[in-house]
Amino acid sequence: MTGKNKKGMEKMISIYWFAILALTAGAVVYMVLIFYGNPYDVKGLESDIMMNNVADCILENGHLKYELNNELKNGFLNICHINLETEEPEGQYYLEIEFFEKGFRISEGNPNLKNNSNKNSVFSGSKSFYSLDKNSNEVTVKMNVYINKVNKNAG
Amino acid sequence: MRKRLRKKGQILVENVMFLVLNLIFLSILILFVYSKSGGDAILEEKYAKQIALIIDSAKPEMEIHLNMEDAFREADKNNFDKKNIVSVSGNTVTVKLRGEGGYSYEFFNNVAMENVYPIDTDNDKNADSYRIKITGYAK
Repeated sequence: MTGKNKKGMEKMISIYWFAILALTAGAVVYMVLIFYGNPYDVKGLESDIMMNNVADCILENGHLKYELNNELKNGFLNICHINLETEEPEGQYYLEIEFFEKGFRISEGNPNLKNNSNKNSVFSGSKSFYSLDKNSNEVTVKMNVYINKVNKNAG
Repeated sequence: MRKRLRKKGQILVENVMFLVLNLIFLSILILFVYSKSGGDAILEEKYAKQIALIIDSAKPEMEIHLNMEDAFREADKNNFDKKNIVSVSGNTVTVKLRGEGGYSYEFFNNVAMENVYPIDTDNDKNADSYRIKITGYAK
């Protein structure tokens, strides 16, 4: 390779090198801004904790702790020590519990979240398990939790 | 002979410059990532959500000590009183590391608790954790 060609080659390499550096810096800045620019999303964890708390509340050694009646339905939040109030005026939670064999259902919170068309913003978690009533009959319990809180969690 | 020597010296200077520039570039990138990951706002959000989740899963009579050394360091830098970093009002946790701003997050577990305050868990006379004591369920 002649001296002129070598110099030209070196210039080309330095331009490429600069381009690679710029590309790397751009990618790192973009990834960091994407990662730290969005809030931490804890809706999944919240939903799991809520379902565990409800299961602990309504069950004792695999048996339903309470009679499935209107008293439980109307006072569910007090009985299970749940407070669904938030800073935002419209509710940010919706909790639904179905006792299949008994045809009994409890629902609390903002029901609009269940039918929300924007499925990406509302988190929904669900859990089901078997339990026994006072007469040891099997009861299937299904819980659904919907959490909005879009402004405070990544969408 | 002298010409050849000068050329070798030039190559060495070029390589050293190249390495130094690369190091400067990498340092700037690392500083950028570090500044973004450890900012006051990020720490406030992290701890507000962490404390809210801890309270959500807590049971009556539990006492929780949450290590918050990095938050205390930031508060010291901002001359902000450690006793005012975490506050709980109703079912909302607020974490503040500076005079302005702060981050709030709600918990749904309807518990009653004692006032939260900083404690020294490793006996070095510097507070490093916050104490959260659940006394029972709220009425």
